[in-house]
Amino acid sequence: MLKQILLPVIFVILGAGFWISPNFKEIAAGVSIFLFGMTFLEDGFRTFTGGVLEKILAKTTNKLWKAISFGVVSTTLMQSSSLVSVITISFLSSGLIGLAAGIGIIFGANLGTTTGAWLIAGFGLKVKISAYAMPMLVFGIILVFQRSKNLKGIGYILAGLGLLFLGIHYMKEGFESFRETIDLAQFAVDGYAGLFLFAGVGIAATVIMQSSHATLVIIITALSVGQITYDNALALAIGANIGTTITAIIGSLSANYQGKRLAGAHLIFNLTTGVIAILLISQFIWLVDEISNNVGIAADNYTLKLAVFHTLFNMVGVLVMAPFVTKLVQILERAIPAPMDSIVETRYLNQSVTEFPETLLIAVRNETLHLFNNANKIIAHGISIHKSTINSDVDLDETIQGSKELIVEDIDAQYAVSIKSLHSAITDFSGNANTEMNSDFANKFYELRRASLRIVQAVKDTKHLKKNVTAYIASDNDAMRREYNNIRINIARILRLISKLERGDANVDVHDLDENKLSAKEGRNATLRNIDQMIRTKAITPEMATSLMNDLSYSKSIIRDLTRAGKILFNANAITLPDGSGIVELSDDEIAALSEIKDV
Amino acid sequence: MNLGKITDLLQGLLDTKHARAAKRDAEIQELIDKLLKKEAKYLGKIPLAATEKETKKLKRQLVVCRAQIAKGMEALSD
Repeated sequence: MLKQILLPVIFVILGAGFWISPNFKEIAAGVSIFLFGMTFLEDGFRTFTGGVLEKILAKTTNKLWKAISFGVVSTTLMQSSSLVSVITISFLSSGLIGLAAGIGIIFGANLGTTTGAWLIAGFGLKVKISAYAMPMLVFGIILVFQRSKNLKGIGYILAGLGLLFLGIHYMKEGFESFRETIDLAQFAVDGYAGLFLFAGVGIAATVIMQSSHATLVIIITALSVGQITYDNALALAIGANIGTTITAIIGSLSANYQGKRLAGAHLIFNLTTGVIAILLISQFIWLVDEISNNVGIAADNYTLKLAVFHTLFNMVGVLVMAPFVTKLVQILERAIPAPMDSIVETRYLNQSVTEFPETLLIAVRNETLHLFNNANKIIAHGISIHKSTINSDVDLDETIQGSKELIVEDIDAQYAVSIKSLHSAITDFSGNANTEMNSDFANKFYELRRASLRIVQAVKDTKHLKKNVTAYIASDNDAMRREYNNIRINIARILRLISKLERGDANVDVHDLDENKLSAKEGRNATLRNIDQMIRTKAITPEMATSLMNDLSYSKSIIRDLTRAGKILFNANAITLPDGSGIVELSDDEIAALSEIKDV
Repeated sequence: MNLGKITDLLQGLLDTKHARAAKRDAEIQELIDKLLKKEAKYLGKIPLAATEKETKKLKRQLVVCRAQIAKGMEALSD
């Protein structure tokens, strides 16, 4: 309802403003061009985020100071804390970085974004930047139309900067002309009333424009021509800082619980920083004067002093909050808990990870691992083996041959609860991912989708196998019980190996899957060789032999599918490099040939 | 040299077939070295195996490892 009313109201206000004052039109056009430039700039940097930025992000966020530094540097270079926030939420949601690292980056981004005020106050207002804007726009737009992705990216960045400069120029001109007709400084409010009033205005302006950068440019340009007082400008800057969290909160709505926690951290940081700045405003003003004196900023250079203030209060915010990051993580984890019934919900796949191919790929892989984990439990229970037995180091042969315990579980119900929804999400996200990415990425998504399909197939085959496992696990027929236990042992072995691979056990690697497959093949061969003799000695009936052969076929499929899925998921090069490890994998025929070697 | 040529040159350096093939060969060689280490480990363990079951498993691991090395060598010579 509010959304429907808001847009027409804004249009009416702007329309009235344009009618009353041509200068207001110029300022508004400047803001629009500036915002348009921001989107161009973000698109440009987004072109170059495919790889380098993600690799740096993944490697440089293992310590809080590194995460903060990353936030400062990346935001300074890209001049967009929104883009850094989006990347951080995307990586956090996909499970590549932890919440503490994400919070560190957001703290750093808040500090990095203050360099914008320095650039505008120190450069944008001193130089006739419209002279740079025009060539930048022309060169930029020519490059935007090039076919090369990199040139296109450079084009967007140049055009974006050109538009930013042009926007600042129009805003400056507008405010200067505005001064001749109306002096906005007459509406200045002193004291704490002014502080709260203008902080509120700063919040509102940033929420409407969805950019604290744009608000800050307006503040600096208005301050440079004396349309607002220095004190009120400080309050507006504090408000802009708080208002920018609304953008983060809106952005987190489509993210998972991790993205929401990060938006929470952003809100807490900016609110705390804002409160500190308001409470200690006199001390901050004094400190800004002292610093300005020492670095040679003139006492009446209020725009640069505003930049000093902006950096100073964000720096104080980082210094105050950094020691409490661990506590903040605990609070946020309690306030925004992970979905309890995560077995049915996707843990990693959500809209926020679709921002970049890398984050989507990592999220699809992690979700497939989640599916694998759920499937392994169903398969283990389907052959009446506890997951704790699989995860332990007990001798599987002895434990399984010596146990007649039956685990009663409805595989159909389990499939519906913990497999189907995950498999659908993996298929959906990886299917939609293929449209706009290079063949390397498309192949990886295809492989992960195939792994997911094989896992699902293994669960379905377990359902068929379960019937006779249940019947013969406690059977008086020793031969049938022994053979079905052998089938269970072979499946349990692959489940144990996968469990070890998942835990990163140093004693195993993905190539051991082939040995496991050969072992299972030998076991099946031995059973098939024994069947005739068992029938002859009447140890089993021909009907039992038929069931056994069918179930050997199911066990073969289960082991083959789990092996293939394991190779896709646990190959060290599966995500970052072309699939070199796959070259030495043995095919079914090669395994069969090895099983014929007598010496094995 | 214009910007297009510079970016083309950079792309060329990064994406040529030759560079990709060299990268792939290096990966395979690394893999073979790893497998050769495993082979040596299994060969050393076989005489020390305490049970027949353990010996059989180690021999099986050795056979698979050698088959994987052979596949890697074959890919390298292609």
